[in-house]
Amino acid sequence: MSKIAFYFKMAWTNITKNAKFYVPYILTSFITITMFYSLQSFCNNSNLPRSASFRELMGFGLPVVYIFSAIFLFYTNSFLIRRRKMEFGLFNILGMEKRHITVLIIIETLIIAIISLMLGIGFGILINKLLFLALNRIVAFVTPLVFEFSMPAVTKTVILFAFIYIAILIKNIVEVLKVKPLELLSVQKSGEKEPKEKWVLTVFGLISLIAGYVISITCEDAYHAITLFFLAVVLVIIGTYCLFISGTIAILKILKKNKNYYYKSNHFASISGMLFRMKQNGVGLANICILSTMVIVMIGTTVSLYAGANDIIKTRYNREVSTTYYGVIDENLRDKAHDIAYDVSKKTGIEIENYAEYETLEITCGRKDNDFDAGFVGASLTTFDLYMPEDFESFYELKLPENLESGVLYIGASTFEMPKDITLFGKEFKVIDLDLSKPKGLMSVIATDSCAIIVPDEETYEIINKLQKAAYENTDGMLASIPDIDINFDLKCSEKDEHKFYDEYKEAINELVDGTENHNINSDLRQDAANDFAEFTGSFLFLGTFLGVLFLMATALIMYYKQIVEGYDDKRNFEIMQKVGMDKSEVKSTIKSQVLTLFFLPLLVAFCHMGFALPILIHLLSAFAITNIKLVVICCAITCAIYAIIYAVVYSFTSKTYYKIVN
Amino acid sequence: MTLLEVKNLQKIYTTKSGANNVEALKDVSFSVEEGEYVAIMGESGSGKTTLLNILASLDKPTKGEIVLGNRKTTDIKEKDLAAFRRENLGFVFQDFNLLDTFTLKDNIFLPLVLSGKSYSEMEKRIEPLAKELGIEDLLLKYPYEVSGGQKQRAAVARALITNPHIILADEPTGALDSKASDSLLNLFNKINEEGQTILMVTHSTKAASHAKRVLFIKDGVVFHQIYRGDRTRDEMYQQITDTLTTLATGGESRE
Repeated sequence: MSKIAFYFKMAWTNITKNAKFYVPYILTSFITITMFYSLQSFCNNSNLPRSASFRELMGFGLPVVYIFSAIFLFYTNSFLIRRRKMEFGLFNILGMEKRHITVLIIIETLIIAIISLMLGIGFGILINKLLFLALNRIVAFVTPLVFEFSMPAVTKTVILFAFIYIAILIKNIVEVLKVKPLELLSVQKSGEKEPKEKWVLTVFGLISLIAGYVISITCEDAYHAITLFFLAVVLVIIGTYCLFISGTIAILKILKKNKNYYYKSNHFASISGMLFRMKQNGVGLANICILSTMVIVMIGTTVSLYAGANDIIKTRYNREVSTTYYGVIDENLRDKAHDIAYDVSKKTGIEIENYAEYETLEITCGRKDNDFDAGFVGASLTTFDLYMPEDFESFYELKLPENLESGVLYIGASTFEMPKDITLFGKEFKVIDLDLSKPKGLMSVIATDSCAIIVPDEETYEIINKLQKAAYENTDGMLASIPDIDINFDLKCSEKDEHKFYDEYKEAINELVDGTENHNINSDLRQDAANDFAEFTGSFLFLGTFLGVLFLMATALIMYYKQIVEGYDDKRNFEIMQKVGMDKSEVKSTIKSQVLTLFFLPLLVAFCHMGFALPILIHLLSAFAITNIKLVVICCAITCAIYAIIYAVVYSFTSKTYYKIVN
Repeated sequence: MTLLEVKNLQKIYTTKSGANNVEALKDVSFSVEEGEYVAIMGESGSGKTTLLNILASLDKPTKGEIVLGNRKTTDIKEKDLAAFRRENLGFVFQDFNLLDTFTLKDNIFLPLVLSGKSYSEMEKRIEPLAKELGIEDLLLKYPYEVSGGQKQRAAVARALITNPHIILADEPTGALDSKASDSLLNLFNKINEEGQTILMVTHSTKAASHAKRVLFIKDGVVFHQIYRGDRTRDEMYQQITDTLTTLATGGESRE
């Protein structure tokens, strides 16, 4: 018992004596834990609006943050253990056996893990609570976001981080036990050997990165975006690490080989210094790069979503009340729907304006080149909405050309390039694009490739209807589509009174489908939908900003940590150089060139990642009905610009710290 | 021709509170002729390191002046000091002060790189130097891959490559075993015979016995000096030992 107490005392003394290095280490591990816990508790919070889609999205983030945390902790630990090896060597020489040292390392790790987990989770709970309070105050949600303490999130965080700490512990023990005491005493002096070029790693990283980029560029619809996003992220992360580790070494070696470049006072010290500890540097830079990318992606997309919300509402609902009857219940449905609306109008004394109605047949099929058919295996999902010309005209308030030819399909609007001739369920059709400017309200919430087709006459309409019915009858587990009726109109009253009308109206239309099978009504009042959506995008914005700020903090911390650690490493070098005849301004310019190259490289790569991520992000956003590509690009560009400014500020602050240490 | 002239040097260290003043150098004057090999001896705390730091213009004296060639080094502005040091002085330190991140060759090049010399010029200069110092085969190795003696040779090469007026050596044999010490001291004699002026601070009698003249510092003043003249090295060694004994026992009592 007393022996254990002694070990604890010794471990504690070791940690406090090395506070200079342990404090940043604990700080980093506590921030990564805060990050992970926050994300995890969001995942488990069932009170968030649309919590299902939240969880799905957060589900992508969690493994990424976890992998990142592991790499990051290993990286910071490697600095630490290098310093501590010498101390352990001394203990060994003074008579501690290796098993005693092992116990000591275990206890030290235990203390660090417990402190970090307590701080991390405690801070996570606190920051979550505070941010929820702040956000509710600012955004004023109709239903306030509810903060929820989540025990499963705590348990999961503790268990998963315990794994990381155990892995680090094993690595440290193996590393310390491997070396002889004399070597232990001198490790710090000998430093790392100059790294070799690693071509295998370079090629592997390049392939991985390109694969990730290709997934994004070739992504064609929201479905693929959602399923492949995580894979692409992982590939890019692997690629980034490999290339930062191997690529930077290769570049520096090339620079060093160029004698006229290398033997210049402002390059000489920095190139050799960077090369000397490039293995660690590579990981550190990759960390910064990945985190930066995460911040930019997260904030860029959520800002796009928020900014696009108004847009969506306006185009999605072209009139104040929109009602869709799924399935034509009987021949007279159109008249019945019309009567219900006007009866309620008479009853409430609120007038109806701009009444419009149409019938549409939405068919979904799989596309292989120009062949559109039932069955989606190996095909890309495509949706067609069929309209009759007079419905299309009245609903979208426009005039179609006359003399539409029977048997031809006319494109009203399309989210993709339609071929001129297609085979639809086995029958060939000619396709003509009417080149209409996209009518307001048409296809604004469609995620997959879709096309609004104007069918010239009843005959053509029936042909297609029969074809799709036949096609789907032969396909297992699929149902043929049935036509929908859409009724939209405006109300001539204040927004407040709209509800008076709408509540009655909703009751009346629901009676119509009560007791029927396979029929459904979906009805929306524009202002309700807008509020709903604002709440949804608002909480997304919150989440994105929250995580973005968290990641930003982590980035700043890594940069700071890196500078401090390297500052202590380089202190002696700069002292020697000053003795040999380097003056203060030369020291300054050397540091500047070294730090500048190293710091802005990750930022540039992060922007590059962002650029290549745009296609998949745009598709991902289209699942949330954001189709304004220009808006997304602008939002992301602004995010990048702001991030660059913050990055520069952090850089100047940390490089000052570095300069202070080496001087 | 007098190369280095030190006149009435005084250095007082003041503690932050100003309460305790330590006079490291009281009044030191001497001069070094061109081509001379001078050793400065003294016990710990005698002020020899302070003297060397001031000579190296790493520190400023409280009073007095130093003239190197025909330049008063005590008047050189702060921003020109580094360049002055680089071009006129060569340093050899007890703990070598080689950079672990550089190969020996790059360590030797460091002052030239800082002076902005071209690579071909550097190559031209290092070749005969490396041969003379016997480190040709080690140039591409890193400091942690070679022995102490080899490190010190590289450090000497770094000091010599700028063709300095004077080499300032601070306990150059302090971290070396006796074989490596002998070899380094013979090397110093060799380069001195070729005309290089050397000023060495040491408390090793053996190291000092290699010099042409030995100055003894005690309590911040030059207490005594011995010229080697025609004496053999062993005689010189004996003379130095006697002087040190006198220094230690005579005058104020010391431990």
